[in-house]
Amino acid sequence: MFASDVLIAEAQNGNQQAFNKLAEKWYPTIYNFAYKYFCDEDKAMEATQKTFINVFQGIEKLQDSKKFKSWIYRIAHNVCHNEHKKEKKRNLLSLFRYKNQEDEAIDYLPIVDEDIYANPASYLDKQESSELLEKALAQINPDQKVVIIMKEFEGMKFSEIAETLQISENTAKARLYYGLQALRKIVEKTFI
Amino acid sequence: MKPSNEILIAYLYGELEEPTRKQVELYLAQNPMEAANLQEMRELRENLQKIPFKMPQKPLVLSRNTNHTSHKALFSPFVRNFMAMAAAIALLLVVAYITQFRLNGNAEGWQLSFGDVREKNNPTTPANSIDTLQLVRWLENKQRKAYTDIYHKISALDNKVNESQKYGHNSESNNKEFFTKTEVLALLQKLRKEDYEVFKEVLASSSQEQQLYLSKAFEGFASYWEQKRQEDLEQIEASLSTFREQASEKFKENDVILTKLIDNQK
Repeated sequence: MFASDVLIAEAQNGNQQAFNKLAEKWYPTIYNFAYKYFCDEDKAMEATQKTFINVFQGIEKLQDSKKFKSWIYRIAHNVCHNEHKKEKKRNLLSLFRYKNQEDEAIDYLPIVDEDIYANPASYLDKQESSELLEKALAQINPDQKVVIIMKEFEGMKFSEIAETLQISENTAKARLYYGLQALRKIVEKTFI
Repeated sequence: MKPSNEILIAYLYGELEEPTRKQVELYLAQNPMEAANLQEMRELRENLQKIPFKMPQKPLVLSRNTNHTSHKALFSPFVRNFMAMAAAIALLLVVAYITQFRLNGNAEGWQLSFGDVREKNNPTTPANSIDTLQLVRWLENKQRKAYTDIYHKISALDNKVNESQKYGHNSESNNKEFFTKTEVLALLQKLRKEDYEVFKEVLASSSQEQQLYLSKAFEGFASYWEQKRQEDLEQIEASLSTFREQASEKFKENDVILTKLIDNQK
Protein backbone atom coordinates (compact mmCIF):
# COMPACT_ATOMS: atom_id res chain seq x y z
CA MET A 1 0.00 0.00 0.00
CA PHE A 2 2.83 2.30 0.92
CA ALA A 3 4.54 1.65 -2.40
CA SER A 4 1.30 2.50 -4.18
CA ASP A 5 0.93 5.71 -2.23
CA VAL A 6 4.46 6.72 -3.20
CA LEU A 7 3.83 5.89 -6.83
CA ILE A 8 0.62 7.89 -6.81
CA ALA A 9 2.32 10.85 -5.16
CA GLU A 10 5.17 10.72 -7.68
CA ALA A 11 2.78 10.41 -10.59
CA GLN A 12 0.88 13.41 -9.27
CA ASN A 13 4.14 15.35 -9.34
CA GLY A 14 4.54 14.54 -13.02
CA ASN A 15 6.92 11.60 -12.67
CA GLN A 16 6.38 9.65 -15.90
CA GLN A 17 8.17 6.53 -14.66
CA ALA A 18 6.06 6.41 -11.51
CA PHE A 19 2.92 6.67 -13.60
CA ASN A 20 4.14 3.90 -15.91
CA LYS A 21 4.71 1.64 -12.91
CA LEU A 22 1.32 2.49 -11.51
CA ALA A 23 -0.30 1.74 -14.86
CA GLU A 24 1.64 -1.49 -15.15
CA LYS A 25 0.39 -2.54 -11.74
CA TRP A 26 -3.25 -1.74 -12.40
CA TYR A 27 -3.35 -2.65 -16.08
CA PRO A 28 -4.39 -6.35 -15.66
CA THR A 29 -7.01 -5.49 -13.04
CA ILE A 30 -8.66 -2.80 -15.14
CA TYR A 31 -8.40 -4.93 -18.27
CA ASN A 32 -10.05 -7.85 -16.45
CA PHE A 33 -12.80 -5.50 -15.24
CA ALA A 34 -13.40 -4.17 -18.78
CA TYR A 35 -13.29 -7.65 -20.25
CA LYS A 36 -15.91 -8.90 -17.81
CA TYR A 37 -18.01 -5.85 -18.71
CA PHE A 38 -17.89 -6.34 -22.49
CA CYS A 39 -16.79 -9.97 -22.89
CA ASP A 40 -14.78 -8.71 -25.84
CA GLU A 41 -11.00 -8.37 -25.92
CA ASP A 42 -10.83 -5.45 -28.35
CA LYS A 43 -13.45 -3.42 -26.52
CA ALA A 44 -11.81 -4.25 -23.21
CA MET A 45 -8.44 -3.08 -24.53
CA GLU A 46 -9.89 0.15 -25.89
CA ALA A 47 -11.71 0.87 -22.63
CA THR A 48 -8.55 0.11 -20.63
CA GLN A 49 -6.47 2.49 -22.73
CA LYS A 50 -9.05 5.23 -22.37
CA THR A 51 -9.21 4.62 -18.63
CA PHE A 52 -5.45 5.08 -18.23
CA ILE A 53 -5.47 8.18 -20.44
CA ASN A 54 -8.14 9.64 -18.15
CA VAL A 55 -6.14 8.58 -15.09
CA PHE A 56 -3.04 10.27 -16.52
CA GLN A 57 -4.96 13.46 -17.24
CA GLY A 58 -6.71 13.58 -13.89
CA ILE A 59 -4.30 12.15 -11.36
CA GLU A 60 -3.18 15.61 -10.30
CA LYS A 61 -6.70 16.33 -9.13
CA LEU A 62 -6.88 13.25 -6.88
CA GLN A 63 -6.76 14.62 -3.36
CA ASP A 64 -6.62 11.46 -1.26
CA SER A 65 -4.30 8.73 -2.52
CA LYS A 66 -6.13 6.19 -0.32
CA LYS A 67 -9.14 6.58 -2.57
CA PHE A 68 -7.14 5.72 -5.67
CA LYS A 69 -8.75 2.28 -5.98
CA SER A 70 -12.34 3.52 -5.96
CA TRP A 71 -11.28 6.46 -8.16
CA ILE A 72 -9.70 4.31 -10.87
CA TYR A 73 -12.63 1.88 -10.81
CA ARG A 74 -15.02 4.81 -11.16
CA ILE A 75 -13.11 6.03 -14.21
CA ALA A 76 -13.08 2.52 -15.68
CA HIS A 77 -16.79 2.16 -15.02
CA ASN A 78 -17.57 5.52 -16.64
CA VAL A 79 -15.47 4.69 -19.68
CA CYS A 80 -17.13 1.28 -20.06
CA HIS A 81 -20.56 2.83 -19.55
CA ASN A 82 -19.90 5.49 -22.21
CA GLU A 83 -18.55 2.94 -24.65
CA HIS A 84 -21.62 0.80 -24.05
CA LYS A 85 -23.90 3.78 -24.75
CA LYS A 86 -22.00 4.59 -27.94
CA GLU A 87 -22.32 0.99 -29.05
CA LYS A 88 -26.04 1.03 -28.35
CA LYS A 89 -26.38 4.20 -30.41
CA ARG A 90 -24.46 2.63 -33.27
CA ASN A 91 -26.64 -0.46 -33.12
CA LEU A 92 -29.76 1.66 -33.08
CA LEU A 93 -28.64 3.54 -36.18
CA SER A 94 -27.64 0.41 -38.01
CA LEU A 95 -30.27 -0.71 -40.50
CA PHE A 96 -29.15 -4.26 -40.18
CA ARG A 97 -29.79 -4.62 -36.45
CA TYR A 98 -33.36 -5.67 -36.29
CA LYS A 99 -33.34 -8.42 -33.68
CA ASN A 100 -34.42 -7.69 -30.16
CA GLN A 101 -32.24 -8.21 -27.14
CA GLU A 102 -33.74 -11.56 -26.19
CA ASP A 103 -33.12 -12.98 -29.65
CA GLU A 104 -29.57 -11.73 -29.50
CA ALA A 105 -29.07 -13.29 -26.12
CA ILE A 106 -30.01 -16.66 -27.53
CA ASP A 107 -28.01 -16.22 -30.74
CA TYR A 108 -24.98 -14.98 -28.88
CA LEU A 109 -24.50 -18.14 -26.91
CA PRO A 110 -23.03 -21.16 -28.70
CA ILE A 111 -25.12 -24.22 -29.49
CA VAL A 112 -24.78 -26.72 -26.67
CA ASP A 113 -25.06 -30.48 -26.40
CA GLU A 114 -28.39 -32.14 -25.84
CA ASP A 115 -27.41 -33.65 -22.48
CA ILE A 116 -27.62 -30.23 -20.86
CA TYR A 117 -31.39 -30.50 -20.89
CA ALA A 118 -31.13 -33.37 -18.43
CA ASN A 119 -29.07 -31.52 -15.88
CA PRO A 120 -28.33 -27.86 -16.55
CA ALA A 121 -26.58 -27.31 -13.23
CA SER A 122 -24.07 -30.06 -13.82
CA TYR A 123 -23.48 -28.84 -17.33
CA LEU A 124 -22.29 -25.58 -15.91
CA ASP A 125 -19.53 -27.46 -14.16
CA LYS A 126 -18.03 -28.35 -17.45
CA GLN A 127 -15.22 -26.44 -19.13
CA GLU A 128 -17.51 -24.23 -21.24
CA SER A 129 -19.49 -22.97 -18.28
CA SER A 130 -17.13 -20.09 -17.58
CA GLU A 131 -17.28 -18.84 -21.12
CA LEU A 132 -21.06 -19.17 -21.20
CA LEU A 133 -21.41 -17.32 -17.93
CA GLU A 134 -19.11 -14.55 -19.13
CA LYS A 135 -21.27 -14.07 -22.21
CA ALA A 136 -24.45 -14.21 -20.17
CA LEU A 137 -22.99 -11.62 -17.81
CA ALA A 138 -22.26 -9.30 -20.72
CA GLN A 139 -25.98 -9.23 -21.52
CA ILE A 140 -27.49 -8.10 -18.25
CA ASN A 141 -28.25 -4.53 -17.21
CA PRO A 142 -24.95 -2.55 -17.03
CA ASP A 143 -25.74 -1.12 -13.58
CA GLN A 144 -26.32 -4.60 -12.15
CA LYS A 145 -23.45 -6.11 -14.11
CA VAL A 146 -20.87 -3.69 -12.77
CA VAL A 147 -21.87 -4.48 -9.18
CA ILE A 148 -21.57 -8.23 -9.85
CA ILE A 149 -18.12 -7.72 -11.39
CA MET A 150 -16.92 -5.59 -8.49
CA LYS A 151 -18.26 -8.00 -5.90
CA GLU A 152 -17.49 -11.35 -7.51
CA PHE A 153 -14.30 -10.68 -9.43
CA GLU A 154 -12.72 -7.69 -7.75
CA GLY A 155 -13.68 -8.78 -4.24
CA MET A 156 -14.83 -5.34 -3.20
CA LYS A 157 -16.93 -4.74 -0.12
CA PHE A 158 -20.38 -3.25 -0.42
CA SER A 159 -19.09 -0.03 1.11
CA GLU A 160 -16.32 0.18 -1.51
CA ILE A 161 -18.76 -0.50 -4.32
CA ALA A 162 -21.07 2.18 -2.95
CA GLU A 163 -18.20 4.68 -2.77
CA THR A 164 -16.95 3.85 -6.26
CA LEU A 165 -20.32 4.07 -7.92
CA GLN A 166 -21.47 6.89 -5.64
CA ILE A 167 -24.60 5.04 -4.59
CA SER A 168 -25.87 3.78 -1.24
CA GLU A 169 -24.89 0.37 0.12
CA ASN A 170 -28.50 -0.78 -0.03
CA THR A 171 -28.71 0.20 -3.70
CA ALA A 172 -25.54 -1.79 -4.37
CA LYS A 173 -27.02 -4.80 -2.57
CA ALA A 174 -30.32 -4.52 -4.43
CA ARG A 175 -28.51 -4.25 -7.77
CA LEU A 176 -26.47 -7.32 -6.92
CA TYR A 177 -29.58 -9.29 -5.91
CA TYR A 178 -31.50 -8.42 -9.07
CA GLY A 179 -28.38 -8.81 -11.20
CA LEU A 180 -27.83 -12.36 -9.98
CA GLN A 181 -31.50 -13.15 -10.55
CA ALA A 182 -31.31 -11.77 -14.09
CA LEU A 183 -28.13 -13.72 -14.76
CA ARG A 184 -29.76 -16.90 -13.51
CA LYS A 185 -32.75 -16.32 -15.78
CA ILE A 186 -30.55 -15.81 -18.84
CA VAL A 187 -28.65 -19.00 -18.06
CA GLU A 188 -31.88 -20.95 -17.56
CA LYS A 189 -33.41 -19.49 -20.73
CA THR A 190 -30.35 -20.52 -22.69
CA PHE A 191 -30.33 -24.08 -21.49
CA ILE A 192 -34.03 -24.92 -21.20
CA MET B 1 -41.42 -11.76 8.38
CA LYS B 2 -39.67 -11.86 5.03
CA PRO B 3 -36.21 -10.28 5.09
CA SER B 4 -35.50 -7.66 2.43
CA ASN B 5 -33.51 -8.52 -0.70
CA GLU B 6 -30.63 -6.44 0.64
CA ILE B 7 -30.51 -8.56 3.82
CA LEU B 8 -30.75 -11.78 1.81
CA ILE B 9 -27.87 -10.74 -0.45
CA ALA B 10 -25.79 -9.74 2.57
CA TYR B 11 -26.54 -13.15 4.07
CA LEU B 12 -25.48 -14.81 0.82
CA TYR B 13 -22.14 -13.02 0.98
CA GLY B 14 -21.74 -13.67 4.72
CA GLU B 15 -21.83 -10.02 5.62
CA LEU B 16 -24.59 -10.10 8.24
CA GLU B 17 -24.30 -9.58 11.96
CA GLU B 18 -25.01 -12.60 14.16
CA PRO B 19 -28.57 -11.83 15.32
CA THR B 20 -29.80 -10.89 11.82
CA ARG B 21 -28.09 -13.92 10.31
CA LYS B 22 -29.92 -16.21 12.73
CA GLN B 23 -33.24 -14.57 11.89
CA VAL B 24 -32.61 -15.13 8.18
CA GLU B 25 -31.67 -18.76 8.79
CA LEU B 26 -34.86 -19.26 10.77
CA TYR B 27 -36.87 -17.67 7.94
CA LEU B 28 -35.17 -19.88 5.33
CA ALA B 29 -35.85 -22.98 7.42
CA GLN B 30 -39.53 -22.09 7.37
CA ASN B 31 -39.57 -21.13 3.68
CA PRO B 32 -38.02 -23.83 1.54
CA MET B 33 -38.86 -21.98 -1.71
CA GLU B 34 -36.82 -18.97 -0.63
CA ALA B 35 -34.08 -21.27 0.60
CA ALA B 36 -33.99 -23.02 -2.79
CA ASN B 37 -33.83 -19.67 -4.53
CA LEU B 38 -30.92 -18.61 -2.38
CA GLN B 39 -29.22 -21.96 -2.95
CA GLU B 40 -29.46 -21.45 -6.72
CA MET B 41 -27.91 -18.03 -6.34
CA ARG B 42 -25.15 -19.57 -4.25
CA GLU B 43 -24.46 -22.12 -7.00
CA LEU B 44 -24.42 -19.35 -9.56
CA ARG B 45 -21.90 -17.49 -7.42
CA GLU B 46 -19.74 -20.61 -7.24
CA ASN B 47 -19.82 -20.84 -11.02
CA LEU B 48 -18.97 -17.18 -11.35
CA GLN B 49 -15.97 -17.74 -9.12
CA LYS B 50 -14.72 -20.32 -11.59
CA ILE B 51 -14.41 -17.73 -14.33
CA PRO B 52 -10.67 -17.16 -14.69
CA PHE B 53 -8.96 -13.82 -14.35
CA LYS B 54 -8.54 -12.42 -17.85
CA MET B 55 -4.98 -11.34 -18.51
CA PRO B 56 -4.35 -8.82 -21.30
CA GLN B 57 -2.67 -10.30 -24.36
CA LYS B 58 -1.04 -7.07 -25.46
CA PRO B 59 1.08 -4.54 -23.58
CA LEU B 60 -0.58 -1.28 -22.59
CA VAL B 61 0.00 1.43 -25.17
CA LEU B 62 -1.15 4.88 -24.23
CA SER B 63 -1.51 7.21 -27.19
CA ARG B 64 -3.65 10.23 -27.74
CA ASN B 65 -4.18 9.44 -31.41
CA THR B 66 -2.62 12.73 -32.49
CA ASN B 67 -2.36 11.41 -36.05
CA HIS B 68 -6.10 11.56 -36.38
CA THR B 69 -6.49 15.20 -35.40
CA SER B 70 -7.20 16.39 -38.92
CA HIS B 71 -9.59 13.51 -39.45
CA LYS B 72 -11.40 14.33 -36.22
CA ALA B 73 -11.55 18.02 -37.09
CA LEU B 74 -12.96 17.18 -40.47
CA PHE B 75 -15.71 15.14 -38.90
CA SER B 76 -16.25 17.16 -35.77
CA PRO B 77 -19.92 17.65 -34.80
CA PHE B 78 -19.85 21.26 -36.01
CA VAL B 79 -18.43 20.37 -39.42
CA ARG B 80 -20.80 17.44 -39.73
CA ASN B 81 -23.80 19.62 -38.89
CA PHE B 82 -22.63 22.27 -41.34
CA MET B 83 -22.14 19.69 -44.08
CA ALA B 84 -25.56 18.19 -43.35
CA MET B 85 -27.21 21.61 -43.61
CA ALA B 86 -25.37 22.40 -46.84
CA ALA B 87 -26.38 19.05 -48.29
CA ALA B 88 -30.01 19.64 -47.26
CA ILE B 89 -30.03 23.09 -48.91
CA ALA B 90 -28.44 21.69 -52.08
CA LEU B 91 -31.06 18.93 -52.14
CA LEU B 92 -33.84 21.49 -51.75
CA LEU B 93 -32.44 23.56 -54.61
CA VAL B 94 -32.26 20.49 -56.85
CA VAL B 95 -35.83 19.53 -55.97
CA ALA B 96 -36.97 23.12 -56.59
CA TYR B 97 -35.25 23.12 -59.99
CA ILE B 98 -36.76 19.78 -60.98
CA THR B 99 -40.27 20.70 -59.87
CA GLN B 100 -39.97 24.23 -61.38
CA PHE B 101 -40.72 25.79 -58.06
CA ARG B 102 -41.69 29.48 -58.20
CA LEU B 103 -42.26 32.07 -55.54
CA ASN B 104 -44.11 35.19 -56.71
CA GLY B 105 -44.99 38.21 -54.68
CA ASN B 106 -47.56 40.81 -55.59
CA ALA B 107 -50.01 43.18 -53.95
CA GLU B 108 -52.32 40.28 -53.04
CA GLY B 109 -49.56 38.43 -51.19
CA TRP B 110 -47.12 35.57 -51.89
CA GLN B 111 -47.79 32.74 -54.30
CA LEU B 112 -46.03 29.35 -54.43
CA SER B 113 -46.25 27.30 -57.58
CA PHE B 114 -44.76 24.16 -59.11
CA GLY B 115 -44.52 23.19 -62.78
CA ASP B 116 -45.81 25.25 -65.73
CA VAL B 117 -47.74 28.35 -64.83
CA ARG B 118 -51.14 28.54 -66.58
CA GLU B 119 -52.70 31.90 -67.19
CA LYS B 120 -55.94 32.19 -65.32
CA ASN B 121 -58.72 34.51 -66.47
CA ASN B 122 -60.65 35.33 -63.41
CA PRO B 123 -63.54 37.73 -63.67
CA THR B 124 -62.22 41.09 -62.58
CA THR B 125 -63.43 44.63 -62.71
CA PRO B 126 -62.93 46.28 -66.08
CA ALA B 127 -59.54 47.82 -66.58
CA ASN B 128 -60.89 51.26 -67.28
CA SER B 129 -63.48 51.20 -64.56
CA ILE B 130 -64.98 54.37 -63.10
CA ASP B 131 -63.17 56.11 -60.35
CA THR B 132 -65.92 56.41 -57.73
CA LEU B 133 -64.05 59.08 -55.85
CA GLN B 134 -63.78 61.16 -58.99
CA LEU B 135 -67.53 60.84 -59.54
CA VAL B 136 -68.31 61.90 -56.00
CA ARG B 137 -66.05 64.92 -56.34
CA TRP B 138 -67.69 65.91 -59.61
CA LEU B 139 -71.16 65.63 -58.04
CA GLU B 140 -70.05 67.65 -55.05
CA ASN B 141 -68.66 70.40 -57.30
CA LYS B 142 -71.85 70.51 -59.28
CA GLN B 143 -73.91 70.71 -56.13
CA ARG B 144 -71.66 73.37 -54.60
CA LYS B 145 -71.87 75.48 -57.75
CA ALA B 146 -75.68 75.17 -57.84
CA TYR B 147 -75.96 76.09 -54.17
CA THR B 148 -73.66 79.11 -54.68
CA ASP B 149 -75.79 80.36 -57.56
CA ILE B 150 -78.98 79.88 -55.57
CA TYR B 151 -77.42 81.55 -52.54
CA HIS B 152 -76.40 84.62 -54.61
CA LYS B 153 -79.80 84.91 -56.23
CA ILE B 154 -81.64 84.54 -52.93
CA SER B 155 -79.36 87.14 -51.35
CA ALA B 156 -80.09 89.57 -54.20
CA LEU B 157 -83.82 88.91 -53.88
CA ASP B 158 -83.66 89.37 -50.13
CA ASN B 159 -81.92 92.72 -50.54
CA LYS B 160 -84.49 93.92 -53.00
CA VAL B 161 -87.37 92.88 -50.75
CA ASN B 162 -85.78 94.77 -47.88
CA GLU B 163 -85.38 97.87 -50.02
CA SER B 164 -89.02 97.59 -51.07
CA GLN B 165 -90.21 97.42 -47.48
CA LYS B 166 -87.98 100.34 -46.54
CA TYR B 167 -89.29 102.78 -49.17
CA GLY B 168 -92.86 101.51 -49.40
CA HIS B 169 -94.99 100.86 -52.51
CA ASN B 170 -96.30 104.38 -53.05
CA SER B 171 -94.65 105.65 -56.12
CA GLU B 172 -94.68 103.96 -59.48
CA SER B 173 -91.13 105.10 -60.17
CA ASN B 174 -89.86 103.43 -57.00
CA ASN B 175 -91.64 100.24 -57.88
CA LYS B 176 -89.58 99.96 -61.06
CA GLU B 177 -86.38 99.57 -59.04
CA PHE B 178 -87.72 96.56 -57.12
CA PHE B 179 -89.04 93.18 -58.13
CA THR B 180 -92.73 92.78 -58.47
CA LYS B 181 -94.50 89.75 -57.10
CA THR B 182 -94.71 88.29 -60.57
CA GLU B 183 -91.00 88.80 -61.08
CA VAL B 184 -90.23 87.10 -57.76
CA LEU B 185 -92.44 84.16 -58.64
CA ALA B 186 -90.78 83.96 -62.02
CA LEU B 187 -87.35 84.07 -60.41
CA LEU B 188 -88.28 81.30 -57.98
CA GLN B 189 -89.68 79.29 -60.86
CA LYS B 190 -86.44 79.83 -62.70
CA LEU B 191 -84.45 78.70 -59.67
CA ARG B 192 -86.53 75.57 -59.34
CA LYS B 193 -86.03 74.87 -62.98
CA GLU B 194 -82.28 75.33 -62.69
CA ASP B 195 -82.14 73.00 -59.67
CA TYR B 196 -84.14 70.49 -61.53
CA GLU B 197 -81.81 70.75 -64.52
CA VAL B 198 -78.72 70.36 -62.33
CA PHE B 199 -80.21 67.40 -60.54
CA LYS B 200 -81.25 65.84 -63.81
CA GLU B 201 -77.80 66.37 -65.23
CA VAL B 202 -76.19 64.75 -62.18
CA LEU B 203 -78.52 61.79 -62.35
CA ALA B 204 -77.95 61.35 -66.05
CA SER B 205 -74.22 61.51 -65.61
CA SER B 206 -74.28 59.06 -62.72
CA SER B 207 -76.52 56.69 -64.61
CA GLN B 208 -74.24 56.84 -67.62
CA GLU B 209 -71.17 56.06 -65.50
CA GLN B 210 -72.95 53.20 -63.78
CA GLN B 211 -74.02 51.76 -67.07
CA LEU B 212 -70.46 51.96 -68.34
CA TYR B 213 -69.19 50.22 -65.23
CA LEU B 214 -71.80 47.48 -65.41
CA SER B 215 -71.19 47.00 -69.09
CA LYS B 216 -67.47 46.52 -68.51
CA ALA B 217 -68.10 44.17 -65.58
CA PHE B 218 -70.51 42.08 -67.65
CA GLU B 219 -68.00 42.07 -70.44
CA GLY B 220 -65.36 40.62 -68.06
CA PHE B 221 -67.79 38.00 -66.73
CA ALA B 222 -68.89 37.10 -70.21
CA SER B 223 -65.32 36.51 -71.40
CA TYR B 224 -64.58 34.41 -68.30
CA TRP B 225 -67.68 32.26 -68.69
CA GLU B 226 -66.99 31.90 -72.39
CA GLN B 227 -63.50 30.64 -71.64
CA LYS B 228 -64.83 28.26 -68.98
CA ARG B 229 -67.42 27.00 -71.43
CA GLN B 230 -64.75 26.40 -74.06
CA GLU B 231 -62.64 24.47 -71.54
CA ASP B 232 -65.62 22.37 -70.47
CA LEU B 233 -66.47 21.66 -74.07
CA GLU B 234 -62.90 20.59 -74.73
CA GLN B 235 -63.03 18.27 -71.72
CA ILE B 236 -66.35 16.81 -72.79
CA GLU B 237 -65.01 16.36 -76.31
CA ALA B 238 -61.93 14.59 -74.94
CA SER B 239 -64.06 12.34 -72.72
CA LEU B 240 -66.38 11.50 -75.59
CA SER B 241 -63.42 10.73 -77.80
CA THR B 242 -61.99 8.38 -75.16
CA PHE B 243 -65.37 6.78 -74.71
CA ARG B 244 -65.73 6.30 -78.47
CA GLU B 245 -62.30 4.68 -78.63
CA GLN B 246 -63.09 2.37 -75.73
CA ALA B 247 -66.46 1.48 -77.21
CA SER B 248 -64.82 0.79 -80.55
CA GLU B 249 -62.30 -1.49 -78.83
CA LYS B 250 -65.11 -3.31 -77.05
CA PHE B 251 -67.02 -3.74 -80.30
CA LYS B 252 -63.94 -5.17 -81.92
CA GLU B 253 -63.44 -7.57 -79.01
CA ASN B 254 -67.08 -8.59 -79.22
CA ASP B 255 -66.74 -9.16 -82.95
CA VAL B 256 -63.73 -11.36 -82.38
CA ILE B 257 -65.54 -13.35 -79.68
CA LEU B 258 -68.63 -13.71 -81.84
CA THR B 259 -66.52 -14.79 -84.80
CA LYS B 260 -64.86 -17.41 -82.66
CA LEU B 261 -68.20 -18.61 -81.36
CA ILE B 262 -69.63 -18.84 -84.87
CA ASP B 263 -66.54 -20.69 -86.03
CA ASN B 264 -66.90 -23.10 -83.11
CA GLN B 265 -70.57 -23.64 -83.97
CA LYS B 266 -69.58 -24.53 -87.52
